[in-house]
Amino acid sequence: MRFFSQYISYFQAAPLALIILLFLLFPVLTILVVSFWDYDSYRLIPDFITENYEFLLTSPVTYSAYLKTLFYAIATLVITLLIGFTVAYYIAFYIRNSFVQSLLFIACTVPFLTSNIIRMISWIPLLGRNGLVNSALLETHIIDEPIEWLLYSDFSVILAFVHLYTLFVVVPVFNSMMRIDRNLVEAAIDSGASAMQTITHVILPLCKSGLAIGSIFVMTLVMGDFITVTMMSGGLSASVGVLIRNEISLLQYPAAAANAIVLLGTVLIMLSVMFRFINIKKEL
Amino acid sequence: MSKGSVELIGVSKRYDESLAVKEINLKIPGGSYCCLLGPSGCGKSTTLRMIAGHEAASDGDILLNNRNVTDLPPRERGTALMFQNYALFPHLNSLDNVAFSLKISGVSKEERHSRARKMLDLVNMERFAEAFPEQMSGGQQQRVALARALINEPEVILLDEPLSALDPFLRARMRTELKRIQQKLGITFIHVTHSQEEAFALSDQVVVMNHGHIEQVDTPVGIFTRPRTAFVASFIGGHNIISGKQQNNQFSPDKAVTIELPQSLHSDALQERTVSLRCDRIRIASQPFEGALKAVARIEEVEYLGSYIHLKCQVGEQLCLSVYQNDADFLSHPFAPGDSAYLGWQNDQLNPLQ
Repeated sequence: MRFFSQYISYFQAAPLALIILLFLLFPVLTILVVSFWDYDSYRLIPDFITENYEFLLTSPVTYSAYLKTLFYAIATLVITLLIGFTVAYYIAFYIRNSFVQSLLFIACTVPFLTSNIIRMISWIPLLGRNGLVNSALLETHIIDEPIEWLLYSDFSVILAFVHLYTLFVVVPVFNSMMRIDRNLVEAAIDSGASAMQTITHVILPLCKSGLAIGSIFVMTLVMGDFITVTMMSGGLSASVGVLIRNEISLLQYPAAAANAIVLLGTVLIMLSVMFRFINIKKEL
Repeated sequence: MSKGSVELIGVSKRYDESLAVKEINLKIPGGSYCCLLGPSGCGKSTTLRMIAGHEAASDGDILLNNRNVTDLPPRERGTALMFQNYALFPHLNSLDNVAFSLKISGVSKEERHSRARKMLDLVNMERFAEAFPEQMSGGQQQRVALARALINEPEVILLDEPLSALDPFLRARMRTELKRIQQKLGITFIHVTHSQEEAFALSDQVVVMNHGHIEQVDTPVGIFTRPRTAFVASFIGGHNIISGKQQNNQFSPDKAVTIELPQSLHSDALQERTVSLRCDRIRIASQPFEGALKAVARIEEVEYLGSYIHLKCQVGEQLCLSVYQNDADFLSHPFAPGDSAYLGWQNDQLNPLQ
């Protein structure tokens, strides 16, 4: 009995620890191990070589893919933060009726009832060369020939990312905003602050952690994405995710593993920088 | 008239169908301490927020220094509101909280900090300049909130139940502090409270409100010695409210009880009459005495409350009177429930109610 009570907390922590061990640590360790293996065109050869990394880190393809991915991530982040903050602000502070508030909040999540892929594909008839947007613009004689950069371009990739991930900013920011004491807004107004000054001096600092959590979601999702980039760029741009996928389809698992490890490292470094700005424990 | 006078003329506040404040008229002289006193939901906070400009008046005018401010935003009125829960900015330390409005209006960092320090000094919080709200106790946050309200040298400070979140000991201390600061600065304080003790201790003028209208405006002494309505008398406590029929100056709240009214309340016609009588002005004795009621009272309840004793007495069938007896009298001759007693008072103690 004493033995049991002494170790009871370990028993309680065991299920979670097992799950993390089995589904997180074990796969990552496997990838790490495989990234040092050798391979030829039809098999994996257990070994300890650093060639995978050497090739990866010296290839110009890697650098251009990382630059592209970072560009997507930062552009998406800026736009989703702007839209997400505005939407959350509107719902949290302009809508007084809490029923309407929850209704609008649910309305934000409705598009997420369909799959990512469907939502991406639905842009294609809209943005294509003969798509709705182009034909409408042609009809109204705003343009003389179809706009080429609407689809299969960086524009369409970022548009799809923004469409997919804005909600991941809205939710944590809305959550932070709902915790802001409404009296603080009145106190700011009482001190003579305009609506804009109230936002910059009171609301923005107080939803800093919500914004940071949203950024973490968007960053990690965009950095690891390959499907959106492939589909919306029509295979014309390559992000790191696309690179890894290509290597997997060529059965170059060790190369893909090395690439994945480097990506993991990059994202972890970015996250650790973000965590510097917030106290995540306070938010949970 | 000195600076900081406030005048409400026919001010109403309507929420959808219900009237929260019904056409109130009120004059608050500059430099005075005024308490809006009433139960929750009586419209006192709404009135305060309308003066502050955080709630638009549906009707009527609000004058500040004889200037119509009804449609001005809060900051342009020359008022400052202190919130019930203090509403300090959690991401700023005391100094920056106090300096917030200066920062908004673009005052340089050095100047706003030195002015904020002076304000913190005034409320004895200079040692906590660097502390964040969550590191301070309720009383300390309160002082910082007061300093923040004072920094723009407002002519009127509006306080929304400022002491209700504090424990009783701190409440009494902050009460003294508020009065000290008000007298030192000579500006108008308008203080919303549901505690008559707070209102009496602080005010030059007490405004008793109920159901969105004003029941009585008077000094604390005036309110306590001459409550105007039954609501005021029962809300401030310590009063018996006696209703019955009156003819000439004979007043009978009960078939068996006849009370003689003062000459000033004389009426030839038979009419309904309600009067209040202070509990501590009733003399109680076990033997009949000069001027005592003929009817014998029966003691129903005895409550020992320290400096005085609350005796609940039944006279006749319908008249129930509360009597506060001082403890020396009680201890020399203690009453117990079931005892008989004689009650009496000076008839000028009977205060007519509307």
